[in-house]
Amino acid sequence: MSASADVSRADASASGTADLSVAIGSVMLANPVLPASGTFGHQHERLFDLDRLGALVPKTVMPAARPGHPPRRLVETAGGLVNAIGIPSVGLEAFLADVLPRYLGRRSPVVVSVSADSAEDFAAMVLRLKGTGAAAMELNLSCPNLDAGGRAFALDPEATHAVVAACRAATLMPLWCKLSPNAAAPGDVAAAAQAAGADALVVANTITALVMADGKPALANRTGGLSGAPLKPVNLRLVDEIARRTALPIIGCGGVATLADALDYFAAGACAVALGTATLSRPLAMVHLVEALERHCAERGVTVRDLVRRGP
Amino acid sequence: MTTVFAGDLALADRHEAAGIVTLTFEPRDAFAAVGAGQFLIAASNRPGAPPLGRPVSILSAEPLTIAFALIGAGTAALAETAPGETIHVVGPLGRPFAAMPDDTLLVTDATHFGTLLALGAERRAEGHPLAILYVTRPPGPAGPVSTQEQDALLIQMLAPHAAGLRAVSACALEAALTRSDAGAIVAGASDAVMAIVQRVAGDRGLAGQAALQAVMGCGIGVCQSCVRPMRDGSAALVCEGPVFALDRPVFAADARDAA
Repeated sequence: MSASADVSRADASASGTADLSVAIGSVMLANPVLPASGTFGHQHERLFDLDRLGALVPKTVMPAARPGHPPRRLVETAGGLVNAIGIPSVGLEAFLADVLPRYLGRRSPVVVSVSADSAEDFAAMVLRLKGTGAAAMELNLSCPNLDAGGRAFALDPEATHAVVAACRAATLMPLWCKLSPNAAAPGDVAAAAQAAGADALVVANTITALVMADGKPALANRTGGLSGAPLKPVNLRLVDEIARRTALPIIGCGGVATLADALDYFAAGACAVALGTATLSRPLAMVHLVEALERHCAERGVTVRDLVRRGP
Repeated sequence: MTTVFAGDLALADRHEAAGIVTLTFEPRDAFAAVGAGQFLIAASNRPGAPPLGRPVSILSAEPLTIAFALIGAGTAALAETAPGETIHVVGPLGRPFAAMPDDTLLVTDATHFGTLLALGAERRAEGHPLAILYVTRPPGPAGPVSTQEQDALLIQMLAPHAAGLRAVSACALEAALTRSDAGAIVAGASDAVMAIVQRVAGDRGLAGQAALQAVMGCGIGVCQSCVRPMRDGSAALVCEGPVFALDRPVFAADARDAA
């Protein structure tokens, strides 16, 4: 352990504060707690200071306006939720004009989550977002790839590589790839993203699920994405596998609600965590997690980076 | 933008009868100005408690009281909370009922009783109680009890707040509405009942308000799970509702006609 690290721990312990900063590639976060896209918005400022978060991640934006799936869009099951919201979006231009300004100008960096139906459209979006104030772009690869019959990009290493490479050619801005637990070979998908130039990985999105109500699918879209506590062991396993396949920073996502959950993800190799379902019924969950991490690290005289385990 | 309370409230009292649970909390200033129609998101603090997919109507602000029917695992977990324990709540959420004339008829059933009970109590407290029409259900189970037993309890809860209360079956609803001398209607009930109410109100030229429900994730307009179809598009209940003009929502019974 380096002398500077020893000093950092001593300072933290003595002052009762802790160093929670973490680098996601070139993006420096004050703490490793982020919202999962789709579960956070500027509306949360009615409840807490948004600068308490490591980063701000608005709802995924699509190139054109779209309404999303018809209701019913959400159902609770097995301790979690299954959602088929369908990524309703105001479209990129309206997002840039009316939505993004609500997030900029704060201390926490803004990560814009984008999705599209083709690699070309992905690249066009990231190109358009250059210079708009976003610190990074999250590529939501769980959308259907219309160039491949509607199969989600994140299921295929080749499709993932194509999207990331197209976006990398369009911008030098940090690109974070959000992967899917539905992939048969998530390690291969992660490796493909890295090879194409991704700067970080968000591991991972929801897993496809079906809930019945009175013998019929509960959701209008029939299936949806399972999230919350039931997803944690699934996505934790993905983080563990991918952390041993790539050297990219990993933001662990799936069933994170408490300090124990975050520590599990750090032990698996994630350097940050994103909260989603937990935030819905407990909107202060992210702030409470930051506070718990501060106490945990201060009591032990460690930084949050000391909690992350990488390597075989 | 108004602030919203998010945190733990200690339970002061708990009552359960015929599958209806009433919880009263220790006072909290954030809810002092709550109006009928507003609601909160509640979550049990017991480890492993399942999430509750729907918000809960606020019956009264002082004392802060909510009521709900036992429907599934989420409501069951909430119902197990004992006085002294805490429940995590987010609220108050939504927009309350708008002002209404004294000859307004209040129509409800078991699905929306909390919202309309709150309105009835509020109007009585103001000295202007409303006539209430309660739509009963066919015989069958209602959680741990029968529909008849539960309907009887709900009618008993509504009656003290009513300037006359009448109970009718769904079959007799249209006739009761047609014969009513109400000048306006406020309703919150199942889609099948609401479709009838909306149609009769439209036929008679009566203005009205509809209290809607939806599965709700965040309660503050972020997740977009509470969207319901409207005749002029769609609306997120938590942002624009849950109370809408009676002629705006699309109710399942008339969804084909409204397309």
